[in-house]
Amino acid sequence: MSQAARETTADEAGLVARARNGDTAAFEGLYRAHAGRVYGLCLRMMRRRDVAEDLTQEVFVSAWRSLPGFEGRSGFGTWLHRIAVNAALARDRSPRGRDEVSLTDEEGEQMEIGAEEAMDAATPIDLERAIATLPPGARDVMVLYGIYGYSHEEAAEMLGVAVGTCKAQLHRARHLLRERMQVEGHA
Amino acid sequence: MNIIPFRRPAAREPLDEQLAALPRSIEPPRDLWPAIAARLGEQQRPAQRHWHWPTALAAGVAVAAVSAVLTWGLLRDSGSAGGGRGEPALLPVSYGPNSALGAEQLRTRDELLAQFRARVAELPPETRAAVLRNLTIIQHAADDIDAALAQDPGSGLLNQLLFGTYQEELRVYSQVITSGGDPSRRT
Repeated sequence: MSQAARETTADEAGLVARARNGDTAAFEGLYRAHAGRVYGLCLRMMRRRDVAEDLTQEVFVSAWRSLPGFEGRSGFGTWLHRIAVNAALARDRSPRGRDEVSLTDEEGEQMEIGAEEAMDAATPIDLERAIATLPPGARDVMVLYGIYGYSHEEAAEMLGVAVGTCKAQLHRARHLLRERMQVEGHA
Repeated sequence: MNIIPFRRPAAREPLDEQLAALPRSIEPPRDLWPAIAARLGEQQRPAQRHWHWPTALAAGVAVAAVSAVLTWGLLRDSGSAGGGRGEPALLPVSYGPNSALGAEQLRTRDELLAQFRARVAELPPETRAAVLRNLTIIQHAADDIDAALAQDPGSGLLNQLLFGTYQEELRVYSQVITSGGDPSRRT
């Protein structure tokens, strides 16, 4: 671990300890450090900017409420991500479930705006857009595994599915992504 | 000595490289902190304690195993209406602050609730009492799971149990609504 990373971790542990004791300024420090990753995850899972903003707020409020029970077995950022995934899944567990169809015009436009914000000049925006069109289960796995680097075991636990299901969804996601991006020769 | 690897490590595919290169952090389009900070003061933090997971798990199992069978068995044979004076009110299950059910889920529940209340008033007292016991079991489960979620808000399993509890509540309402001798009431 680099010196900078060690200092970041030590700083964060200090902020967490102070926030556990009710220090909102410390919690704001944690928000500033993690808001982008939480919002990014929410935006990619939910595809709508307004919903992602709402969920991000919900995640940090929930984290504040539960912080006394945070034992540090995982990193604070991972803990936040787990809360975010659960909030996203809960939000989407409507009786009709998540539609396994392409984006509506409005959703597509919103995601496109979000994707454009995320991109730098060197990143193909088509990839972000193609991820947004994946069916929910495949998209969730692709986001957690492919973008955020969680293992199959971690992603499966977060999503509440079997590891085998997670692998199958990833396989499906890769296949659909290649198809939609018309990428050839990466089989 | 030359060591020949049993299997070559899987090469990263170009698609994986592109995914890994996507930014993990996307800054929210506006500062969400003021809205979050405004909500922190309203939050009651649970007393710091160790939650016993088996309690929440047992609650979920109790809901799944007892509720539907008990209600259905009694409702199947209940045809006559009875009085309702002096009985405890049949209230919907209340979900705690850590239980992230979406507005659409609660809206669906409320729609069923109106039909449920109309039908349950026609049931004999012993059947109404059984329905009440069912809802009480579900309420206890919801409370236990909410308390566990306060300690571990990122738990996929607890959120699945919570959703199962919600579904069980809807099942009770549906069974009551579709019960009785008048086939025209069945949906």
